[in-house]
Amino acid sequence: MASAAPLTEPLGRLTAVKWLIWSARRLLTGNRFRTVVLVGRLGGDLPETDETWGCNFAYRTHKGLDRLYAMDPPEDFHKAGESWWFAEADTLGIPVVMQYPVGGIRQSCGFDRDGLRKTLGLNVHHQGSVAYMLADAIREGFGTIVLHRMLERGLSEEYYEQKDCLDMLAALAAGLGIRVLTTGNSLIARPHPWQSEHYGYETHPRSAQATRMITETVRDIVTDRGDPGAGRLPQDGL
Amino acid sequence: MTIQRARAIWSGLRFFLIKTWRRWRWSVLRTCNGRRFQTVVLACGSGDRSYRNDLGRRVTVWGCNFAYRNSPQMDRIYAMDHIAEWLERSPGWTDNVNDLGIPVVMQKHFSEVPKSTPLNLAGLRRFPGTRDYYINTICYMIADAIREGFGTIVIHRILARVGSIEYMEQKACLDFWAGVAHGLGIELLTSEDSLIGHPYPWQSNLYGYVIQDNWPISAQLLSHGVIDACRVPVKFHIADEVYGQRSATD
Repeated sequence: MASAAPLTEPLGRLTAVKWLIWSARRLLTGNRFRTVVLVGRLGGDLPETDETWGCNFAYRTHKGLDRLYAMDPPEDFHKAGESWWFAEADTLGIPVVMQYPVGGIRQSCGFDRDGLRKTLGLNVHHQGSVAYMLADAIREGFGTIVLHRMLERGLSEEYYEQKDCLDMLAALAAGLGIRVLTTGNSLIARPHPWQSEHYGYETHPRSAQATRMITETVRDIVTDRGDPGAGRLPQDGL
Repeated sequence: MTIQRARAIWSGLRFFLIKTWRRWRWSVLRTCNGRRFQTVVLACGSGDRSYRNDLGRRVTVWGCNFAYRNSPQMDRIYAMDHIAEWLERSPGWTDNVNDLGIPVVMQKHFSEVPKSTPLNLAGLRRFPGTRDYYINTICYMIADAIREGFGTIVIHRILARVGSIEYMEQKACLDFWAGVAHGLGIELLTSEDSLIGHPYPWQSNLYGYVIQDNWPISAQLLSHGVIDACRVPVKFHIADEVYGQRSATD
């Protein structure tokens, strides 16, 4: 008889006590009845909202942001020749959430990495600055979260790597009773462009070919990636 | 502008009332029928039957497709491919599942499988009530386990192999359903080898904090793979059941 494989809780555990405290807090702060719109670099009309949060260079496209997220290492801005970003972010006069407070930006503050775990007992991975914004919006208990023009292009370099994380966080929010809205073309909580949303009911004879292509690519990456621990730990010690 | 604002408030209020009612109803029903205190193991591999003893609670085992070969004590089988595909690809499958004498959840009742029952797609649309997003049989199983109100969902040895052609591109959807379950307060357990809820093996847990030297290479390879995949002409032929059930709920 085969033995059972050990079990883990990949996403942590949401206890009733934590859920109650989170629910009470969002009611008391009023966030339960508020809407936050998360924006990226892509423009377009924004819906009427209580707060607008942007990431990285979003302030150039959208005026009147209430908060800015920039989760890449601050050194990377210098390396990429974008040191001017610090001066521009400083002049915005809004909170700028980064890995840690940066001297050049008076209102910069560090992201609370343990926030979701402490508040809701969640162990989620974060891929991309948008994931950090979304996690914060969930933690703060907004009633509606609008993901404005996120993950619209399946051909984007960031698309495939970030989709699972954004799907999971959006689902988590939906499960918690938060209303999650996306713009029309967004691929969040939608299948990949070559997949059907009703497996089995919809026949798609050629999508198997697409599946094989992706799998071959994944196998190439896994084979070629070399040292699995190639990532370097940050200076503040994770 | 005032009318727009009023519409937005009404839309939000309507969403809140519907969601609250459905969630309250789901919560009461699962407590009354005892599902809240039960565990369901979703499996497609071996070893899952051991959980019946290990978990020490009332355990139900659901399998997909050929899972009955490894776990003869299944309580339910899910097979979401059309019966024509089963007859063409695996002619002996219908005989095997018929011999089991357990319910087989399929797209609809097929005479070739007398115990087949249709998946309650309309019910899944009511609760958990997220948009239709099912890209493999396991996703239907997780959604159905949520709808039925199980207190614990064990996902056993699914998405365990990085290079599997079957599940790698389905990770996002499985993560989605894992997220829904977790948000609803359902205890979600996976076997240690599963990649559900974890980043891809070449990614770090915390973007930005952990610097990946090889990130651009994997991202570029993947994006080129996606571009190639998008070039494959895909045309969907939609079964009547999808729209039939949709019109029944809407």
